Amino acid sequence: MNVVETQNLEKLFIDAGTKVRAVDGVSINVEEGEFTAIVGPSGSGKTTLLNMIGGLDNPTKGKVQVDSVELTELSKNELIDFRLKNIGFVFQSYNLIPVLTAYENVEFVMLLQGRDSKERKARVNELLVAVGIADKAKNRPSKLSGGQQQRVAVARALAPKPKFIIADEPTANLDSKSASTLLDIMQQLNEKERITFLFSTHDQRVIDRARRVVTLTDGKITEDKKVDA
Amino acid sequence: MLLRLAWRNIWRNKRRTLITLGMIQFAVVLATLMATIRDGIMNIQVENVVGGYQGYAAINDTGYVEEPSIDYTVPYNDSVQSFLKSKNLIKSYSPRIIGGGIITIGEKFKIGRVVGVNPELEDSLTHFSKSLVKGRVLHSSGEVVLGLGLAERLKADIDSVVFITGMGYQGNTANLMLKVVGIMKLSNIQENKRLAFVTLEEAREGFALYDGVNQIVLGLRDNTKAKQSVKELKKQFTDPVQIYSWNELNVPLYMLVEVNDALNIIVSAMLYFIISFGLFGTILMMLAERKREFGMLIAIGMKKSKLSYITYLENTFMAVFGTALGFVIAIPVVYYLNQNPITLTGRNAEDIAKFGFEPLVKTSMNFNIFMWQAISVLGISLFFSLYPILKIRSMNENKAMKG
Repeated sequence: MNVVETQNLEKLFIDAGTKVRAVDGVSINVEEGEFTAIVGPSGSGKTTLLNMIGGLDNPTKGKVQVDSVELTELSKNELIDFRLKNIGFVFQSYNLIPVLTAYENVEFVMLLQGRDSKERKARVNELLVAVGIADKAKNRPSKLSGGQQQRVAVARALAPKPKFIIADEPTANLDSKSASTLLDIMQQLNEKERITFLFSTHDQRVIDRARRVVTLTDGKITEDKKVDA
Repeated sequence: MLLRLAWRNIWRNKRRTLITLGMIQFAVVLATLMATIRDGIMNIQVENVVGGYQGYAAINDTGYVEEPSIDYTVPYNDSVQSFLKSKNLIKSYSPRIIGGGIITIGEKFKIGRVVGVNPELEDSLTHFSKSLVKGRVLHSSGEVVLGLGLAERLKADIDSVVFITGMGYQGNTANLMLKVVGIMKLSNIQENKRLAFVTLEEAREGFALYDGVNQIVLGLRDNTKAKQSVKELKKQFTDPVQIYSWNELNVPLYMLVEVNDALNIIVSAMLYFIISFGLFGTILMMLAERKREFGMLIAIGMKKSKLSYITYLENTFMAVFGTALGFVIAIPVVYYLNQNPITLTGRNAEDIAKFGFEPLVKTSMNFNIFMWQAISVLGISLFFSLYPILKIRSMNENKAMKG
């Protein structure tokens, strides 16, 4: 079953009076349980493509369907609500809420969803254990290392039980040990719980672990390779 | 959680928050102090001038307001007296015959005002027996109680003999010879220098005013509501145009009160203008600092309305907290100055006294002043809280996350 389907997706930017086609006719399907890396050099359109798939950016042309819902037909408010229920985000620079503890950061999205406190508590504790950060639950982001912060970000992305997770360069700011730990966690979650991950990266460590590698060059898919386990 | 988030957000930049709170606090203290001092000083003047002698309301002929001559009279008969006694709005009243004349003791003289009163009724209205500094109140005809300023000018003492020559009713000549039985200190400095009290009968005989009086001064149940009370009394009195509230009788003083109120508003507005800049600056910095975070929050599914609510809460917390801190300092200071007024001395005091004002700095404990300060600060904060709300509404989460 396809979690994500795009058809002839296009994104046009005007940069200093010149039209730039950041994403140029991309059609891609992502199935449930995939561990997919979108790779390519800087400026190849990876982040723009993920932003459109995540409903953070509107395509100039084409269609994006997530779990059979056409994102281009949703209003801004409907998109926010859709993201809250269906898409988890892991950002390059962690983007945790600095004034909340690790526990509260993970809990926050569930709170926005209106989940009751019992459910929240159980889920947050479960996720903090899963990402190996339970002992740091009461720490604020400033008291956590980069790797620990990114693990909290993964737990936060997973908290609302989304259809899939978009991770934009998740290991870019991490040392190799932290990156390896993070990737182990994400891989385990993918294998055990069939959580769909969609990365943008040019980190070889991520590419090596991906089951599918989609290469973008100048906004076009130039290679789409499935890797056997 | 949203409340917790808003509260913690305030303290994420402690120094900036403390500066903003300090600024709000300072402005609240300053605005409250200035407003209460102005109000307090004005209350003293009104109380001295109006409460001490003039009265918060009076019945007199319409012509008397324009030209306070003894020839303008109003009836003081049984029907008027029963009206005055029957109205709950009226607490006390005092009929007066008021004539002018040259007041002489030996070779000393001064042009003054002779006020004929019923001592008991007058005392129930102005408590003038409490103002006596020497001697006693009036008991009978042939006696006079002088204002302290007038007595000093005439070098009068108890048992001094006073001659008063003046114009009586409708051109009659008034000649009175009286014995000083008391000297009183009137709170109104001008009146203190020119008033001489005699009995109503003495004045009636002396000024040949055998029917009616010049003025019936009214003491109201609630002097702070003089205007409304007078309006109500006008509806019930046979000759409504003859009832006046103190502001109609003493237009210059009323204008001064109005100007003072306007000045209070202007000064407060200027101070709040400064607060506004401070608050707006804080809000702009907060928006710039947290733009990326706001983008992220919207990206992960936080509705813009909820995000706006948090920023609104933060600003409101700051305003309420700053105002409360301001009051923590202002209220004790205002209370202290209310209980221990500062008496001005020297040249300043003399200048103020020249205008007939008492040189006292006393604050007013008027609850409305505190309430309006709080409402103003909250209003300003509410107004400026709209800015982040507008910014968030038009925010593109994707662009915001790029910083």
